[in-house]
Amino acid sequence: MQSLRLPARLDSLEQFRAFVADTAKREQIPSELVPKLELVLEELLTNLVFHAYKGNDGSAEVQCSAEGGTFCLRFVDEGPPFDPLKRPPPDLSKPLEERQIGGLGIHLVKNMADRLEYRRDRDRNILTVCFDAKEAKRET
Amino acid sequence: MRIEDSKIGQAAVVQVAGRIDAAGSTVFEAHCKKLIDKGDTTIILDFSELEYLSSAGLRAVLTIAKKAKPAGGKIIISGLAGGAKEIFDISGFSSMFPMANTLEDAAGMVL
Repeated sequence: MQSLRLPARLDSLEQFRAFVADTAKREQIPSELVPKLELVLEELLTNLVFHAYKGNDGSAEVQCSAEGGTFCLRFVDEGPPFDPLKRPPPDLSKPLEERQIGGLGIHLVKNMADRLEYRRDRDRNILTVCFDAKEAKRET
Repeated sequence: MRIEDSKIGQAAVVQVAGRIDAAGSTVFEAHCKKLIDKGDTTIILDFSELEYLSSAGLRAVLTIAKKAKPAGGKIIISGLAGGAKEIFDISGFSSMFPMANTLEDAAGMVL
């Protein structure tokens, strides 16, 4: 398991992105999966910055693990309890004028990931996002 | 992310190449809002060179469209493909916007 801890800020995204891409390459994860990993990383980091820490200082840890054809990203933070999976899904059928601006990030994450799990462990939020890494999924 | 402006008839064409992520989306949004303020309310977003789009990018597109519409304009999406197209589909954006395969097709949707 590899991990990287950085300040929970948007400008940490580049470093997290390089870390995840390097780890995925080392673990010989199919390259089609990498854009999905990048997307999930961005969505969960922005979610953490804006919703969990709400602009306050804090740190975020990203862990990567590969086992038995599954690649998992785990996000750990010390913000207030916050389960992003409990956010109500956006109403995708509404016309442009009524569409809300928020809620799309988690919707995308749920669609990209093969398995998602949130738990609160003492003072930490732990969100694990796993991908089937044996073959590319949902290719169109 | 690279942004290039051009025109087809009365419509402004904004080509965005590369990535629209959290950082790029604010630049992209400000760029298009400025066009709308100048009176270019019908904008063709040429996404044929777009490699990556996150929810921040979707939010920017939605914000731009919500500004263009009351001003009598509209946003047309052109050339979207691959992973970015998938993001549009998953979010229901593909049915919310006029979608063109090529700039020629997009030009035909202006009026």
